[in-house]
Amino acid sequence: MTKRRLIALVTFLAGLYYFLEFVVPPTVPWRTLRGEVVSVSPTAIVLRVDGQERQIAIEPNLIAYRERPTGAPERVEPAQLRVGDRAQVGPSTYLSDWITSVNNFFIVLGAMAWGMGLISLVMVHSGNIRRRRPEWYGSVLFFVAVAGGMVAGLGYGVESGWLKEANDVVFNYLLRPMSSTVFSLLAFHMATASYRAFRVRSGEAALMMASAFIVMLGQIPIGLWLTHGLPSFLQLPVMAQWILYIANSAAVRGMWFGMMVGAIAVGLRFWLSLERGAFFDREL
Amino acid sequence: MEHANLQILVAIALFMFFILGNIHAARRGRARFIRRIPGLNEIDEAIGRATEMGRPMIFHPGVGEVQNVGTLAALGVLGHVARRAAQMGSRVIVTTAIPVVVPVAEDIVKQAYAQAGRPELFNPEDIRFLAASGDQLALATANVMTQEKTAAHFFFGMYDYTSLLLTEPGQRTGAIQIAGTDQYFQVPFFIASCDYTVIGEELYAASAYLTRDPIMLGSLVGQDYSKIIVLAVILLGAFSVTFLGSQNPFVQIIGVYR
Repeated sequence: MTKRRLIALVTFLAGLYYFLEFVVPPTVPWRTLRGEVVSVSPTAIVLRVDGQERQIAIEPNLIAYRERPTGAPERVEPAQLRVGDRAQVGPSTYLSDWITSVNNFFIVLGAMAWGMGLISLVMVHSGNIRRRRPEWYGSVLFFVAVAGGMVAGLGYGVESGWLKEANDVVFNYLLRPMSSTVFSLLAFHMATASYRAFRVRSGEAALMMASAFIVMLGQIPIGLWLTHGLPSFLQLPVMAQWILYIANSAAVRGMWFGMMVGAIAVGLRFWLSLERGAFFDREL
Repeated sequence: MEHANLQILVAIALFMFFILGNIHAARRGRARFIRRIPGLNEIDEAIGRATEMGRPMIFHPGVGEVQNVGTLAALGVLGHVARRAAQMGSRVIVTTAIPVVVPVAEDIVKQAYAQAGRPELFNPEDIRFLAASGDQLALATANVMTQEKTAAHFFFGMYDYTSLLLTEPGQRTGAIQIAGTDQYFQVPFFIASCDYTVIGEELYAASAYLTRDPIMLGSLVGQDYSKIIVLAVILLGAFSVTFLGSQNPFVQIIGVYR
């Protein structure tokens, strides 16, 4: 139970930081000035606020945002502001200053997990060899590949020599073509999956088949050639565009709204350790 | 990093109020009803079928990092699948390309077997980090399917183009396949190659639906109230722009065209 309480506490604190970083303004609201930049020097910025000129000394904790006609204001170094810019300038609330360090911390944690991944692989493959499971010799090859990959990895960035050759052979002449081969399998998988999906077994399947037929023909010249004599709204390219950008977009946006709200709910459950089942079998 | 403006702050506060409010109401014993999700109902069926056949099953928690919401939701489903499998004395093999998922999945499955009183059935070798890239993982998972003669495959979480590389070989083995993803580009592939598909937000609702925990169900109801608010804002926005123009007071308050 202590371990779970610790996990819950760390989760809450980490979540709280990200939550506050998002909702707390980056500058102290009551000390932030918003106006037009009149002059910028290495030591101070002069802003025109409500017709009055206000001088702000450039200190290490000073943050500046340049306003843009559209979109969120862009964070810039105070000295990067230009005369005539609309800007918000104020002392930092410090939360945003740590975001890079906190993100780096998680990247380091993630990197440590690669070791666990390797341990998992070693456990599985050494077990295969020990118990002489079917195709155990493939597991021997795994250890050879790991050793070879590690040595070849040392050749990354090397200009010449056998290490560079080894790196090229393993990563460029073996791994890359193999990945492309696997990727190309997708074409065949798509064909078989489409065949199954397009067998008209129900009303929904028929609708899907008809829509796919229109969209596919609408994307190629023969679609226009077949229907060019019809009124424009009955021409295949027009119908295909309508399906793609009107009907499909409406459905996709509906899904998106649901997912976004769902993501907030899942986030809240994890943040407050209310999630049950897999993570916390009972209430803390 | 983007920061919340006033409108977003109000929206977050409203969503939190509805979700936490409904969780509080659920804690006090108010019964909650949620609609049936066929894909999730079939999970127990698939586990039962695999157990009857005496074959293991595969759980694949997607290709997203562990902090991805889809992956978190998938790990919630893994907890349920592992617990049911443990109760029935069956085996679950977890395959992943994300190393951080390995210890988390191991902990979840181990805990599930321990809770079911069958800790001896847990085998750490069944939690497999098979490859570092998605397409290699798909091939390796297909190999596990044929070697272990698996009878049920669960694909939950975030997926990319590898979705079809995973499910098509599975389809050919004759195993029952259930998938759920929040990546709508992959949904058609899952529908074409799986027996049941859980779409979009249903994935996020999965652990609440499966555990039937009143508090979790409360959060689902709160989620639905939040969606009603979003829908109302969309409708009001559409009507106000249609009849009052794009600079009407409602649009100004919402800040759409800022």
